[in-house]
Amino acid sequence: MQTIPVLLTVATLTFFLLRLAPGGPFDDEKVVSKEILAAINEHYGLDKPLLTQYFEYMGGLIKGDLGPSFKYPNRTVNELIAEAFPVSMELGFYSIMVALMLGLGIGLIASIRPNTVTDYVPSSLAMTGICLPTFVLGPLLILIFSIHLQWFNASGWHFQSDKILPALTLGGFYAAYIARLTRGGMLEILSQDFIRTARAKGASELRVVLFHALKGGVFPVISFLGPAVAGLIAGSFVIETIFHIPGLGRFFVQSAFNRDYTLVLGTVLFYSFLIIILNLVVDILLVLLNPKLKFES
Amino acid sequence: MDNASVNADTLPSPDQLEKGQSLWLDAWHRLYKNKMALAGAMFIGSMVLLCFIGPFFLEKSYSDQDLSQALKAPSAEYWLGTDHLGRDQFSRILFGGRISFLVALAATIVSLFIGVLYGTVSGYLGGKIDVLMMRIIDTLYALPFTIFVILLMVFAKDLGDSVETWLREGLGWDTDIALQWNLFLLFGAIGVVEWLTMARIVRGQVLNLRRQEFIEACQSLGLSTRRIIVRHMIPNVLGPVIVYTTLTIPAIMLLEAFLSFLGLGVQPPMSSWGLLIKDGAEQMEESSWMLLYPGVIFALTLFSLNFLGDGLRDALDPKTSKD
Repeated sequence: MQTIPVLLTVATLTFFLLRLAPGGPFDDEKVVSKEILAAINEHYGLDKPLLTQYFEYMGGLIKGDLGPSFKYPNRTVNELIAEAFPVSMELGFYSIMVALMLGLGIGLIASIRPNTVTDYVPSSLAMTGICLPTFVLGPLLILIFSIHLQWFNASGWHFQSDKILPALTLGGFYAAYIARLTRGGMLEILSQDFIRTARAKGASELRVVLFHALKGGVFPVISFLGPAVAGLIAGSFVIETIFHIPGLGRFFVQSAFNRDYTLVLGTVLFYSFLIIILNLVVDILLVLLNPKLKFES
Repeated sequence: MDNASVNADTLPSPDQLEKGQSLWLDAWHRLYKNKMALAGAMFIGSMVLLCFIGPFFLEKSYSDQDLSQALKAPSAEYWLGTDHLGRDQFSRILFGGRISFLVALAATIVSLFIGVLYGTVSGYLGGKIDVLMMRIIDTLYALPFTIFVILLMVFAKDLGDSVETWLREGLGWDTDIALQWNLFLLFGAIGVVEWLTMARIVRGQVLNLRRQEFIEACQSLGLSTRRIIVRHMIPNVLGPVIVYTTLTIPAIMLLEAFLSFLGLGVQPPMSSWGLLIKDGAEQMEESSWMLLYPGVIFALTLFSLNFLGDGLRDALDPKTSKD
């Protein structure tokens, strides 16, 4: 499989990209004497030749050890990821749920009577959702629901109600995209012969749409879920920053600013691994749903 | 587009000439009927004009600060209000639009160039080289690219800063090269990311075309390879390329704004729509106009570009139209 070479490429690229950057992780520290700086560098092995560091890191990687964090003293990257990731995963899960429910619903409604009002309204809604970036939608929702109506807290991750706005913001774009995909997929399926047969048999319209057409119609949606995960991760950087959520996305952006090399590297590898695995799952799912694919590829 | 008139004298019969034109004429008629796409094109056109010409007629520049005028609501003097440093928002939005459009244009050209070249070579050579080149694309697709752009931008910022200090201290220059360096890398980083799909589309088209009967017919009629490529292949590849290009521009504007929003893209005191939205989100409690105007203008621009792209797709490529 491609997984291992891709991960190796990511690890190597990221490692050297970070190490070639002119700034060191401890450059911003308040004035420290040269001896202390040298001691810090020695402690983290930064005084060794670059290649030695690289092979030591790779050695640790094979055992699943991502090394110590540079900026959080006495914490390992593994610990930090284990702490922050569940929060991101929860947010991601809710967002996918929002996206699937809203998206499939809106897409189905739009596909039943194409080019009528029940198509135009949901379709324009979906188009608006696609064009409203998360970093515009998020602050707008806060402005309306937190500041003016005061229904929710503007930020934080303490109560269940805190999770509604972030999930809506992150899921909104995907809901819109899924709605378009569903509409397109359903329109294609609904024009096929077996649907005409089903109608001719006297199946009700509801039955035709939900039982006969839906399975084939959601096909594009499932193949979109793979790339969507990568997008959700990128989206989580913005959402977690806007709503002050203590997840991995915010950690990643902060650690990139702080030059916390090991944390950045670890997070990038973790994300890559996640994306690859989830893409694999989606591919398997597609073949399971449509055995024809097995022969085509 | 209109290469028919250029080599008109070399053409054997007028029939062919008319055929060559009708593709674009047809497309134009179909586009003209699509009112949303036309409205989108008009909005984009006026936005571009406003952003590139408008700032010359404004009294206040995008960077003029006046702290006594900070956070003023929209008024006759400040049409769209002022920001937390007392800068005129209208002028900042226009200037920011200029940067956003420029980044999008430059990055699109980079991605167009790499993508078309890579795709054509891969599709035209075929065989093992094609398999290898496509394998590379598959591998690159699996990489989390947004994350890489973020890393690249952090790297670029460091590099720009150290080049600037070196120039200032070592050579005594008074420059702000870090700003330009950053913008330059933003073009590069985004363009490098976005070429993959373009390469795939072009390769698919080229592969497809090579097998088509009309190309075979051309070959058996004894037309030169150059003639086949120029007159018959390029017009057929051009459609999808134009369509995908119009859809790449909003994607790149979005990525630029995303990076600027995170503080990794365009740096203040420069202005870009992502940066304005970021500032707006920070100040929205007291001064919602700082968020609303840039946000709405940005969303409308993306909206128009997407409609225009969809319209072009329907017009140029009615068969592959998705919905």
